[in-house]
Amino acid sequence: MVNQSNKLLFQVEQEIAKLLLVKLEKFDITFERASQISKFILSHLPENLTDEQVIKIIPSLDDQFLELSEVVHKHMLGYEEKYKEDTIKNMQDMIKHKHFQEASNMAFKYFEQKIELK
Amino acid sequence: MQEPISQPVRVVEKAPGKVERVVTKARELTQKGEEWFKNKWEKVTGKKPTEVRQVLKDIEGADETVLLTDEIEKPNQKVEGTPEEQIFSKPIKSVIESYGGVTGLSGEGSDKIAYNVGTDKVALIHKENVAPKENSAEFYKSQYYLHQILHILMPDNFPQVRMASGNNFIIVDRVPDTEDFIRAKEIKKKLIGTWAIEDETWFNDKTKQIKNLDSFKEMKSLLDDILLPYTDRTGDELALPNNTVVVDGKPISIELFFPHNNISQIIKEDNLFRIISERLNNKQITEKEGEIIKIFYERYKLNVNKCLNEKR
Repeated sequence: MVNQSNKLLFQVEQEIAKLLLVKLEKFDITFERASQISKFILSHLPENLTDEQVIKIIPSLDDQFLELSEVVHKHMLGYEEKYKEDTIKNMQDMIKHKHFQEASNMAFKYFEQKIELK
Repeated sequence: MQEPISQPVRVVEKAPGKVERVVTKARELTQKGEEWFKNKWEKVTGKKPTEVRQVLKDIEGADETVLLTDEIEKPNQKVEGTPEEQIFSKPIKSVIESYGGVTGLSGEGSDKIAYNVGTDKVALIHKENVAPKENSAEFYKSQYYLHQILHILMPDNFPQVRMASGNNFIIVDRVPDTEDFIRAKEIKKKLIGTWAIEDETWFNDKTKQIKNLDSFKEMKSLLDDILLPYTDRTGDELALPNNTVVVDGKPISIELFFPHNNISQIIKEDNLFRIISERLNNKQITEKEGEIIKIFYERYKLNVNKCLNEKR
């Protein structure tokens, strides 16, 4: 069963496995290419990775295999949705209390992650 | 290292005579291949991380020589959709299919092409852009609401537009192909100077007959009232037998009206509201229909402002 700490790993692996099966069934991809992608995923996403670790790895998945870009893109959008509102709210609070440097750091961190997720 | 699968190739072979034969060369799943995929799908849709991971391992080690056949030729394989359907984008194709698919070519003019869809609809495609921002969603939404209003006010004379979308695409209720309409379309295909005298006389007579119909005069009057200005002042264009079809003595317009900032073909609000009141008083429309027209007009306004305010 899936435990809470590696929920994201399971989700990403499942999405990639489904993507490969669909592409193989439609002859959109060769078995050789699918084999290379699977090998890459199994080595880059070892078992027992935490969600935080997976988040950091996701952006690099489609560097070598463009076929994975839709999975990467989906998680990129998910990240934006999840953190955008929280970041804005926290920054507003910090600015209200004149903690400008902290607000700036938070914005930097948010955008840095977004750029990584590109 | 496994051999890559060659992608399916469409080869057009010239067969004896004038017929071209389409041959598709492709590989297919073997019995084992089908079982393999079935098994993987069962595992991947489950909730066990170990099984999902196993699917990735299985894909890594899959032997395509067992799972796939050799290349086989498939002559005259059916191509999806009719040739007409193939020009539509996927979402539009699915809308067309939901109405019964393309059943033939209805007609073609200089700026539009019309396909029969299902048993009682027509899909109209503008060949070129017809007005500023005409390919925008707002343009088509404006046109849609304008036609909904016309249809509620004169349901027998303005067919209902079912859908109008960007990419110059409209679906409208089909007007029956009468003998006159078919002949008018045939005549209009020829350049005006090349018409036979008999055809020209027939065409002009038909136009006059349509213009003299009382319900045509009502249609014309409605357009003059609510559109600013309705450019066809004399009604000569609207009354052409290829633009208005007479069915059981009733003229039905197949013209499409659209917002245009060069000729300001937009709804005159005061006049529209006056007409709604008059029709309500005369019980020509119900309270509900009056409300619907007002709602449609608000939506029309929102879209027309967006589409006309933006410059090309």
